[in-house]
This record gives sequence, structure tokens and C-alpha cells, in this order.
Amino acid sequence: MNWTSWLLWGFVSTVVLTSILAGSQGIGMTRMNIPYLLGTIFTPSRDKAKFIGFFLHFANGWIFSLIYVATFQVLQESTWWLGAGIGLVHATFVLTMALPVLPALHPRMANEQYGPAVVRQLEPLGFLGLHYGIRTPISVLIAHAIFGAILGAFYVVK
Amino acid sequence: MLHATRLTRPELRVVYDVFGERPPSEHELSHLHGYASSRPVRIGNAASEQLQLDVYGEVVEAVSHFIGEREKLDREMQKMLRQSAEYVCEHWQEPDNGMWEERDQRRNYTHSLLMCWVALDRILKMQTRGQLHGISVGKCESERKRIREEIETHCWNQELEAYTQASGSNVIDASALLLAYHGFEEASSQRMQKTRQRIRDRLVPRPGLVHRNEQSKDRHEGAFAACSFWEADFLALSGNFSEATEVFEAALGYANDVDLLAEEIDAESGDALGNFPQGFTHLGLINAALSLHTSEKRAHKLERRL
Repeated sequence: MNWTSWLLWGFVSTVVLTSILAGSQGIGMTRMNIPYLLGTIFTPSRDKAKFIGFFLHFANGWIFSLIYVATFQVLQESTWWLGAGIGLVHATFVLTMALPVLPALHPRMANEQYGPAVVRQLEPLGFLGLHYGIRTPISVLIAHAIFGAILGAFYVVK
Repeated sequence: MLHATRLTRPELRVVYDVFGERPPSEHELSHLHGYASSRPVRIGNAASEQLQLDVYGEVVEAVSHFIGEREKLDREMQKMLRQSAEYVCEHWQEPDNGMWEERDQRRNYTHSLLMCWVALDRILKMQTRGQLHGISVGKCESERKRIREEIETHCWNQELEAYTQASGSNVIDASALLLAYHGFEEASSQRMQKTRQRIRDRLVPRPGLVHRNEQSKDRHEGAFAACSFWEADFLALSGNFSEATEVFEAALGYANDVDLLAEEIDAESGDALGNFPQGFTHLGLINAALSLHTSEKRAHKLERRL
């Protein structure tokens, strides 16, 4: 395992992933803001949630890049297309499994199993995150494919 | 609101679907007759493709009420308000479809101009109270002034002696009563009293009922229930408590057995027409009830002093 290479390219790919996701919200592609959704697990304050969520998302990205790097090590090969492929699998998992179950874990997100509550809640993301706009899955797939491609292209297998 | 409008901001649409997208287009179902042959039967809503500049004023007014004088606004809310201020400054002169969602042509509706004025006015007040930062105060003030001049000069019809439906128009429209509700002009002013008189002459078929405008009356549509409550509200703001109560109670008489009101009321039979129940009607009812309550309290205070 090449720890220095992982630390550097894990960081770079997470910066790019976060920028693409934030940018896709900025250009009106999706309503999803992952740092905000993560941050509101810990605080109801919109301003603080984005701040906390940014660091959490960053840490997540770095940790997840370990799985990519481990795969490269096992295969003893690291190419951009292999990384992008893992990214697409990762994104598919996020869209089909992680996002739909988020309401069960998130204390401030409405749950599709229950009716409306008095307290304001976040809208559940739904299957493929479609509740946050029909182009949401596209932005998630692109961001993760590029995340994996960067890791695959630049990580040096030991 | 921030979440719902995310995909289109700074532009605000009239209608969004639950995913923040544009709802499906309107279609006519020509094979259906509709209730009491009220053709054409439509699904969808053409308003989703219309321009209604009044929405900016409605949103900013709602924020202003919601936060009151002491609450603070977070950064995202401030950003949305700044975007709205800029949008209104740039676009208030454009003709739109107005609150009645007219399909024939776009006009510079008095109500749309009023709500653009409301947007800038409330934004400037929030800025003065220190709740909102980073707006271009000079630009907002000068555009607010220009909107006032436009309404006072071109929406006032000297011949009719009334505020009319749009700039340069000679159509009487009940939405002119809202100039007083939103604090643009005192309800007791001569202009507003004359406007109300003209509305009463042309749009009131019987006590408690008001047509929304002359086009609607000519199309033999029902009286618009929200307008009845605007009239009651206007009278309460004018200090005419007894007449306000009469209009309010007459309008309430058109509710069904569980006190729900429709969008429109048939001026002949008193039957409910259009959307039912209609939130807009009940919003007018609540606002009128609050104005009546305030007016009543003021009257009692005066009595005690005397």
C-alpha cells in the first residue's frame, strides 16, 4: 500500500468530487447538497450544518478512496478507466441503496412511512435521489466516475 | 421554500412539482363535458409556463412576516432575498400574466407592480433593521420610487377616478383594493376611497359578492370569493367597521355546512363554482378577520377614551 500516494490523490479526488457535487447544485442540475444533508444530522442550523457537513463529506471521501486504493493493490493495476468503473459502481450503490435508506438514519429527514410532522423536516431523497431533481443521478454518477478516474490515473501501485 | 425553488433561482416560478421541477403542460380533454358543461375541461396548469412578477413580493412579504423585527436570517435566506431584490430591480417593468393568469396578452398589471414594490420595500426594511446585508440600497430605493411613480401616474385613471387593472388601462379590477392592504396607500385616502366606490359600482352584484374584474364579469364567470374578503378587509382598514362586518358576514354566508368556501360563487344562485375548497379564498378570509379584529379593538379603545 502506497500511503503517501493515497493521502495525496485521495485528497485531490475528494476536492474534485465535492466541487462537482456543489457545482451541480449551483448550476441548477440538482437540489441535493450532500454536506448540508450530512451536517443536519448533527445540527438544525443551516449555516453550521454546511460547515460541519463539509468536513464530514471530506473525511468520507478520503476514507472511501481507501477502498479504491485497496482494489488497485489487489489487482496490482491502477488505470483511469478502472477507477472510473469502481466510481460508477460506488455511485450506483449510493443512489440505489444509501440515499433511499437515509431517512431511517437521519433525525431531521421526513420518512416516507409516516405522514407530515409539525416540525419542519428535510425531504427524503428517494430512489436514485430523484426527489431532488431528475438530473440528480447524472451528477452523482459523473462526480464519482471522475473521483475514481483521478485515483486510478494517479495512484501509484506498490 | 429554499428547497422547492432551488433549481430555478433567482427566477421564481408560479408552480413547482414536488421535485422542484416544472409540472406537466396543460392539456384540454375535449371528450369531457365538465360539471354543468363548464368547458373546456383541462388537466395541468398553464400558469406553470406563465410569468407572474407578483410572486417575488409574496415570498419576500412572507419572509418579512415570518422573521418579525428581531429574528435573524441565515446566510442562505439572505442570499435568496438579495437575488430577489436584484431580479425585481431588473424585471419589474416587464409585462406579465398577472395574478389572474390571463391568457390573452401580457400587461403591466397594477397588482404585479404593487408586489414588486412590496418586495423592494420589505427588503429595504429588513436591511434597515440589520437583518439583511449586502443589498444595493441605492438601487433598491430608486427602483422602489420608480415603481411608485408608475402606479401613481399610469395605473391611476383620471377619467374613471380609480386605480385600474394595469398601466394605461380602463378596466376596473378588485385587486386594486390590495394597494391598501400592502401599505402602498392609506385605505382612507381619497384615491383609494374612489377606487373602492368604482369597484362597488361595477363589480359588486350583491352584498358579499365581488367579481374579480370587468373581463371576468363579461365572461359571466362567478364572483371571486377572495375579493369579497378583500373588500371587507379594505373597509376594516378604512375604519368602517360596521360595513366591513356586513360584507364579511355576507361572504361567510356562502360557505358550505362545514364552513368551506369555493374559488367562485354564482352571483345568481349562490352556488359554489371552480376549485373547492380554495386556499386563496380562506387566506383572504383570515386576513380580513385579523383586520376586523384590529379595527374592532381600535374602535373600543376610542370609545373608552371618549
